[in-house]
Amino acid sequence: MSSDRACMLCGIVQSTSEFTRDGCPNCQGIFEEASVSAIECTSPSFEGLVGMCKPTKSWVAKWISVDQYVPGMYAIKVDGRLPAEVVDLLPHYKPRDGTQND
Amino acid sequence: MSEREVTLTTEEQREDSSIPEESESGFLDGRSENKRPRDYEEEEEDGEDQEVAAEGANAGKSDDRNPQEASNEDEDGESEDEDEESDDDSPRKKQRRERNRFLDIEAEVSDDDEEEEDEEDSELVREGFITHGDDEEEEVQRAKDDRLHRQLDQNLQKSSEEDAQKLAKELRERYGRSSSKQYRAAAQDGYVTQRFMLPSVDTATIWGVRCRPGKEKDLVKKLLKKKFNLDKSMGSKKLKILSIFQRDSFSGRIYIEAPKQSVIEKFCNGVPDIYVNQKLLIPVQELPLLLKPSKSDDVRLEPGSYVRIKRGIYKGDLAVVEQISDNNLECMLKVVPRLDYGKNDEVDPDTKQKKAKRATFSQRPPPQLFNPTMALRMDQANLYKRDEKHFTYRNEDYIDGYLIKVFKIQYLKSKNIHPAVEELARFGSKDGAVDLTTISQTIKKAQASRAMFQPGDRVEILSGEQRGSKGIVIRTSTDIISVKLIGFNAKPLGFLISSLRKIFEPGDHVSVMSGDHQGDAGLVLSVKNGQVTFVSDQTRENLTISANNLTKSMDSTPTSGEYALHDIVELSAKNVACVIQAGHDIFKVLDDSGKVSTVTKGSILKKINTSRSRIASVDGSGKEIKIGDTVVEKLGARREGQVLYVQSHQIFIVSKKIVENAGVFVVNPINVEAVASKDNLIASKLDLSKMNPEIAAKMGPPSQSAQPIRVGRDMALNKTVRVCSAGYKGQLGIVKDVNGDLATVELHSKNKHITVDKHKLMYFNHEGGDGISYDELVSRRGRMPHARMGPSYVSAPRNMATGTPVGTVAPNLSGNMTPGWNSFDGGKTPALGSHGAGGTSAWGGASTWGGQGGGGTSTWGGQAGNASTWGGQTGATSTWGGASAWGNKSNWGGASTWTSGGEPGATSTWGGGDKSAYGGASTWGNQGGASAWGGGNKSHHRQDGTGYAWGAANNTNQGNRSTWGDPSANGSGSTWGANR
Repeated sequence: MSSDRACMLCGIVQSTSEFTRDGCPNCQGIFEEASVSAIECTSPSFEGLVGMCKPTKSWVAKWISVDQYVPGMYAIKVDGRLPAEVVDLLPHYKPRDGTQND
Repeated sequence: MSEREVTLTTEEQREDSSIPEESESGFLDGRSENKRPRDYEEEEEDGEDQEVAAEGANAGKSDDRNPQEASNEDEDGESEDEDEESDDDSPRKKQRRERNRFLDIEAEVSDDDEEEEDEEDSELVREGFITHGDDEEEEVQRAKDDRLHRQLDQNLQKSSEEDAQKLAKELRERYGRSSSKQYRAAAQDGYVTQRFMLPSVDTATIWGVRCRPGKEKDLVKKLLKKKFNLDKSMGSKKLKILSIFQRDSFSGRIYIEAPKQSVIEKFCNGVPDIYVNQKLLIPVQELPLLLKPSKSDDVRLEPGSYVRIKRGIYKGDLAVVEQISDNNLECMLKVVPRLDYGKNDEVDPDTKQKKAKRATFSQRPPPQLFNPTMALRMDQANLYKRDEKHFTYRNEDYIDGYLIKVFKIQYLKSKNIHPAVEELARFGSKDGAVDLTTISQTIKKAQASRAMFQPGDRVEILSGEQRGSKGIVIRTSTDIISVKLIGFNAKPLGFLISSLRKIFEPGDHVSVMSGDHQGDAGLVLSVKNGQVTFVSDQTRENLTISANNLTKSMDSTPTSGEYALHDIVELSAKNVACVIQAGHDIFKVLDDSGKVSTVTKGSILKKINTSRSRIASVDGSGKEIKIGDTVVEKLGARREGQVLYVQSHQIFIVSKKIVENAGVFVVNPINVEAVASKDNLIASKLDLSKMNPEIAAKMGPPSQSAQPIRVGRDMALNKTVRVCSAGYKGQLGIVKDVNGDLATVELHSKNKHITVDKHKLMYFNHEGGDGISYDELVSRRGRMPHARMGPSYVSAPRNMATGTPVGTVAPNLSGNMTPGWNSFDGGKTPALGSHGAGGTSAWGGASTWGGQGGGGTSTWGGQAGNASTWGGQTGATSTWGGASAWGNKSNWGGASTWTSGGEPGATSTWGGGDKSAYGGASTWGNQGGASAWGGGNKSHHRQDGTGYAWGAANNTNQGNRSTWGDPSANGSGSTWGANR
């Protein structure tokens, strides 16, 4: 458990080794575009584990905006901030660390 | 879609051929009319195509052709179609415009690319149009066509969308995550305010299912895995589980998003730690809260706030945040270092090189500011000086004496930090003053919601326009408190919790609401800067606590719910103690060695339930002592009390008369005497009339009065008995157990145990002799008559039983009796006379005694010579002290009691005033004292330490003993003889 990290962009939870080996299954393209490593964009501190089985149909997925992503484990809250390079690419980026509420 | 289209197209064809078009409407009319000549051309081409096209629409569309292209083409096709028309129709533009203005604009703009169009056009689309064109004459059909076209368009659009999605999916599968555009597209268009996604009953069905607390995350993982596995194995029949999630703030629950309850049961079947039966549907309006990313009690870290470190040698230490890294994952903290400057380093014996030993939490040095001098002296090699205040030691930076180090935020605790004053003092500025503003800020932030203001609290306003004014809390809510200011008649004003501070004054009694000292209470000594110093009721120490953590209290004795006064607690496996002062956290206990110590709650292992304890001990005379029994010390202060707890070598006793140590003391059971057993105290009714000696005297022998208080084992135990009741009547046996009135008797005759009323047994000396009843047995204190002995002897013990051995003038014991004695005083003879017949004669010797009764003294006086002897002893022993010696006589009067015991023979013994009788002493000898009497016989006398007889083993009797033991006593013996 302690080796798990969550992607700060999409919230997916994987082990550190998975991130280093394969990157983030949802956002790797962006990371590559921003030329940052996947590890930089993940955080070991997250809370609220969601096992997402059917992201397309689940309301939960919609609510935590992972409905576009692959099924898997997601975190509801991910502490930390994305590197500026990534944020610059994404004008509508909404941080997952609970700082923004609407 | 394809099928529908097929039907459509075939229909069209049919219509085309059969029904003439009549109606004139829709945007295509113009075209169809005007374009005719050209369309004919086309028609021929397309006419061939028609069938093909239809087929294409059926089958080819989705498979062969790139759908996206198709859709593009569709659009292009349409516009181009129209463009083309317009081109063609340009001469007749006006007409068409009238009919359909709508198309004109496009028509004007566009230019001619007929040729391309033919190639590029979606065949289907074209077909549709072309068919139209074909049957332009038939207006009716036109209308239908129009409708069909629209339908077709719609269908096309739909299909193209679906196709696009399919394609996208394919692409996604093929190229996976590599398309960043996709994310961006999603992130950009997909960004919808959550307000628009609020759940409704239809969209979200989430069930909260109970599970074993602490297992939530594992369960989510496990269930997700299970779901994926099920999906694989079940193929098309998948369980409708959409998501599973967990929140740290709701432990013992996981949440499952599934439209049906039954699915959850099926899904969770066989998964341990999850209690499927306990589930409930989460109300829709609570869902957003459940999935809120931030927990309300989270504290946002910012430079200057206080945190605690969760790991390493600084575990639990307070730290100040200096900086936070850009990604919010690391913090630079200011910590008071714990350094040993290499004192504990291991030195490698070979290389003589120091090897830094890694400090562990268990053996960490105390926190102290970095000391460059120490470092320089002890471990120079690792020290680098950056500037005046900045050192690098062992690769870590020390500024101003503080360690500046980067920690990961997951190793920091930011919630509920209650910095202790001494901790803060270490972070104080250089002059040692505590930075109260920072403290209060952090504390307030962390506790704003927790700091409790209650209506009636006096508060001071710390900030704003009303700063400095005081008021009384009227109403409270979570963050705003309405306060009525003193001296203003205005309405109560609302203030933020953080801007208020409670006011206390010296002399107030306060108790601590939270933190380490929670529950402690005491009198306020001083108030300074919002820090209240009070003297704790428990520890008698001064404590300084910030005001908002305190509340006024009425209760002056805060006690822990766990341990109370006089509880017996276990301090270690072998160490038991009694609580003699109970506080909230600190207890004063008296341990089994009699030592008083102060212990914290933590060092108490557990409370011992004394009511369950069956441990018993025995007192000095072998009587049983149980918890709850009343005992008295045999020596010393003769403290009396109830047994709280019995340990093998010590018993805890509580006395209400003693103030010291809450009345608790510890003694060795050997040194106490059981006075009353708890059971008997409850069971027996005290008959006061029997205890009253006046009445007792009139009633005759007070034999019964001594009986009721029975301590320890039952008299009947182990006695040889003969059964007197039916069934086993006449059989001999031994009493093995007594339970209440029932005795279990082991028969001699058969190997059998029977249960008989103990009163229906005759008790025998194991050597035989006469049997006695149970009552008698009890009255004799369990002593059996000696087989060959005259029963007279029995009487002596009775005296003993009263607690006053013969000849004793033990004031405290015989106190009760004294009046009785008085009543007998001098009256002895008659008393005796009244009892046993022979008694008189005995005491006739007695006459001497009688002499005492009347002028008997003279008799004794007559024995002056002896008397002197006695007298002499009197002086010596004080027991005998003249008259008091005769007080002993009163004992003898007691003797009369004996006789009254209904054993006339006793008298005879005495009657044996005859020396031999005394020597017969053997009688007395039974009492051991007998020999004393036997002392009549000088030689015997000496040997036996007659004293025993008289002494009756009671210390107070010793005087007597000496008397008799005294050779001179022998002389007196002669006196006795003389008496006769």
